[in-house]
Amino acid sequence: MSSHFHMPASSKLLILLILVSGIASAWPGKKDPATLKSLSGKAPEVRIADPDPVSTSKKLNAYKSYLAEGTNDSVLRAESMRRQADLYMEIAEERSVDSGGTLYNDVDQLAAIRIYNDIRIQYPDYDGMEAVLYQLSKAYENVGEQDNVLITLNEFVRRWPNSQFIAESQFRRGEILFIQKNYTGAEAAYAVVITQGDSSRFYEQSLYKHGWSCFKQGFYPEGIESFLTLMDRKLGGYSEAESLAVIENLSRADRELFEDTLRVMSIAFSYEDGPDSIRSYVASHNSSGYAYFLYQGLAELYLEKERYIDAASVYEAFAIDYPAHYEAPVFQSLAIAAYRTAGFPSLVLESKMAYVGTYGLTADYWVHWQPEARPEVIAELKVNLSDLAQYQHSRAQQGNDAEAYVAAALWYRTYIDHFPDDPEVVERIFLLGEVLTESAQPKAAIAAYQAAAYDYPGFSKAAEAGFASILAARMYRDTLPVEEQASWDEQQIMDDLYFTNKYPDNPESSALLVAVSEQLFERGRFTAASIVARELLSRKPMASNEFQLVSWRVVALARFDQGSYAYAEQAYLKLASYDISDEERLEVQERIAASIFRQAEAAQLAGDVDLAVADYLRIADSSDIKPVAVFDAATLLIVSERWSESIVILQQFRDQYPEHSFSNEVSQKMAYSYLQAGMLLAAAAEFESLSANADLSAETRRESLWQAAELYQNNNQLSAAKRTYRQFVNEFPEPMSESLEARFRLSNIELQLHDGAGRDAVLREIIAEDAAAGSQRSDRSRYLAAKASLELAEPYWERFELAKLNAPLQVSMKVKKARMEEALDAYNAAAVYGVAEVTTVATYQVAEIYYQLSKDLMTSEKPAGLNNDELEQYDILLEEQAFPFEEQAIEIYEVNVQRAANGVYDQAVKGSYARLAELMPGRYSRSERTESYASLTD
Amino acid sequence: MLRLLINSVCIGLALAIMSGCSGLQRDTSKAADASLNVPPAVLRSYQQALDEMRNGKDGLAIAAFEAFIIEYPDYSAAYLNLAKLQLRTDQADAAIATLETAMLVEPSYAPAYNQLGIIYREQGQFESADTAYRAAIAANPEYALAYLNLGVLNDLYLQQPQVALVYYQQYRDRLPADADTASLDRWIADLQRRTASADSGELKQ
Repeated sequence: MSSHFHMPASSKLLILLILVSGIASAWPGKKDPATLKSLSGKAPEVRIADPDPVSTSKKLNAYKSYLAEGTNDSVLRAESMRRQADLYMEIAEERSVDSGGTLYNDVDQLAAIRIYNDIRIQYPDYDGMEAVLYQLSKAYENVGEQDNVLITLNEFVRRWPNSQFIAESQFRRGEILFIQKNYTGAEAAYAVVITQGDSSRFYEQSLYKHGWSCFKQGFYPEGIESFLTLMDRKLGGYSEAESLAVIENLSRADRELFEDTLRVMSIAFSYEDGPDSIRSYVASHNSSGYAYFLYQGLAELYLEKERYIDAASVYEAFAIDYPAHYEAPVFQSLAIAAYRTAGFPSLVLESKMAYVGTYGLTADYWVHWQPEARPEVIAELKVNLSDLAQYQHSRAQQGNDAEAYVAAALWYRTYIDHFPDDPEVVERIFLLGEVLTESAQPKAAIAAYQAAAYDYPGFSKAAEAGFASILAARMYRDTLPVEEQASWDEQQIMDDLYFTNKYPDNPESSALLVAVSEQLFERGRFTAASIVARELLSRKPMASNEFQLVSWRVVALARFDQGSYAYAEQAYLKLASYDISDEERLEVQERIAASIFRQAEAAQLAGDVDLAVADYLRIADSSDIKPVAVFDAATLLIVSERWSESIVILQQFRDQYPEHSFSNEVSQKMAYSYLQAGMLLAAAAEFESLSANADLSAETRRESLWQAAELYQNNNQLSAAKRTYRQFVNEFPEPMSESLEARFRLSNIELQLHDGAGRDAVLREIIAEDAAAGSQRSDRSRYLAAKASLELAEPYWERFELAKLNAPLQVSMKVKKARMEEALDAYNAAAVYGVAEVTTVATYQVAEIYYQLSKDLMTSEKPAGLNNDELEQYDILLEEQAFPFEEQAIEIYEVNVQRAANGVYDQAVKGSYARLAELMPGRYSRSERTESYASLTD
Repeated sequence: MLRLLINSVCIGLALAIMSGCSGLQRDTSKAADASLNVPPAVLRSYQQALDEMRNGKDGLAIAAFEAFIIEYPDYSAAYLNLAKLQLRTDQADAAIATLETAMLVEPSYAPAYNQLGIIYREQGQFESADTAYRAAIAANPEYALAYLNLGVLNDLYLQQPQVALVYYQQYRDRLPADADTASLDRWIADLQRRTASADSGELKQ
């Protein structure tokens, strides 16, 4: 190794410079003008010729002359020779300076050498011999006679080891010996200089060269010590930052010296134990300001030699030993790079972990340094965190390694926690979501994905993250207990919608919207479902046909269930325009029909009859619901009293659905419509038809028959009325009250038909019915029976009235009385029912019978053959006979009028008043009075 | 029912006015003043209608009085005649409505209440008739016919002979001294007798 090492040219130059500079100043002493006068009486002393106002050549000539004079004083002679030699050297040097030339083979220098050697030979005991040899060595050096220099200096250091020039002399020796590769000699010479102390201006250079000398001999520890001592002098006591500044401001030469020292030390360390050696050496030196360079130098040396692992270990050693050093993270990065170059990924990984551990934002390093001041460290930290996370993530994916997933999540999280504002953090968040998803932590993954999707505008994978959150949410749902899934679904729906709203152009957005709308619908949230579906349908460009179809289904169903039937109809129509299965088309058509039907119902409820009917009728004929719609239209028209229209619709129903289960109701409505439209006979026929319909209840048939009979009767269809009432009586004897009414009406019809016998028969039925009614007997039945009795009594009155009292009176009177009794019985029978209306009539009629009898007696046929007296007597007798009947009539009439005070004032009572006014005018002929007319002047 | 209510209100109103308890704003003397100062044109128009009435031309008379009322709505006598004509043509309900209008036109016009009482009696609404007659008296305490008609109502129909007797006597008190009171006196005597016997009957009991 040493054979390859040569002292750098820069070092030679440095030595040369030192030596050159030392020519004029190396021999310090009291200033003494170099004059001949000064030599007299004084012991010679070693001194360097100072500039003299007397020219050098004049002084030289003066000394030449002095010696030529042949003085015998050996001391003075030696001294003069020395000064003469010194002046030669001075002249040569001045000339050299003026001409820029060298002193090699310079005649004056050679003259000086000759004179100095003459002194050595001629005056070996000369007191100024130390200076002579010193100068001689210089002169030899000036003319390039290195061997003589060394010889001269050897003698000098041997004879004057304590000379004030010992350091310089030894240094110069060292330099010559070093050049001559006499490293041992050089080491010794340099060591002497070093032992002279650090005040020497040769001290540092000697340390340097001593180190080199040792290094050349393979004495690395000794060399290292010298180098470190030099480093201590140069950089010891400085802080890291100060040392950097110092190095920065070094002269080029010092800079090279510094770098060279580092270089050789690195080599030495590499020969020793590498970083461990550095560690042990620096411990005993004030190395804080330069240790960094030692490690760096060694590491770079290793790298040059492609000893990457060693280089990395050096870097790491520094990072470990100086964790708070400004450059520590850089070294750790270099270690990572070295491991990478060496091809040891596991070591790279470990080193990265060390980096993250040591320079994570919570590490001690950042107590000393501001992150803002170390952007490259932060950048490296991000890279390493990312690399670690990705490595673990990849490992986890390859081996489904749970531990790796945990690690990957940790690294991603660390990155996210460290650099929340970093532009790249969203990518890490997204990847964290991936890790969490893959490691079956869907809930945590949701949060990560959502953050990546929504919190970082501009993130290129935001939509992907958003959809990933949706998928994770579904994954998480499956892990929940059933009872918690519903509430989770609610949240999920909101999240899904947020995604679709945020990323409408995402390819998954449409599918998601469809799914959400279906979910909402299934939950009965029809409004929301419809809105979501509409959202999809409104998107441009349009979603796929399949999605449109599903959405229209939701919209249609939702609107239908919401009761928005007009919109539902439109939606179903839209649905029908798609290519759907025959089965669905049928269902859609039924839904359209149902929608229209509901619209009709709504219009009906709102009172818009026209619209309701129109809606009912516009339902497709093919729809199952159409018959109901037609039926409801007719019903609505009936309710609205639009009879002619209801009749048309009902007829339409009959024509279209002759066998429909509504047929009977249609008939009933038809009958009612006819009835209300004034088409009474048509109504009657419908009712009669209904009454014969065995499908209908007895009650309905009974009511229908009654309606038919009543209609016939009211419209003078007497035969039909008689037929139907009779049918009613026969078919529906119960309840008795109604059959009694029917009979009552039947009796009136018989009267109109002039069927006396028939009428009487009916009246008797009424009486019998009432009599046998038992518990069903009522005021009405009694009334009808009373009326019937009254009606039945009338023929007796007529018979009584027709019976004339002819002569012989006894005979006709007998008949008259018999008929009177019959009539009285008949009216009394009516009166006993206690029905006021009948009782007053019966009372009146009874009174009339008596009054009629009294009148008939008075007007009866007179017996023939009576003279006037006899006739007068006969009339008196008649009056006596008639008067009691009249009296009785009056009493009975008064019975009637007394009812007036109780509010009974019908025709019979009024008639009774009239009769009483006639029979008792003084008492009853009292009428109100009023003005015949009123005039304006009254 | 509504009509009965209106009747009651109208009649009640008249009673209140006559008793001086009402603050009715209408000037009740207006009709009387108008009758004293009837413009000739009004008189002529009214007379034409009255002539038709007297001549038994009921249809023409009704049309004439209706036209008169449209032109001169403030003459209550015209309403009364129109009501009488409506009664003669079997329009009892229309007659009642006409009389009610007359009462509104002239609340103190007693003949209108009297005529209304007669209609009610003929319809068997004896209590309404009683109220109407008494309203006529309230409107004009010297309107004699209302006393007579109250007497007949209580005599024959309400069968309150003692009440009837009082009204007959009050009627008689309001007749001119030269009036023929023979029938009336007999009625009074009859009632006095009957009430006396009734009283004695009650005493015997």
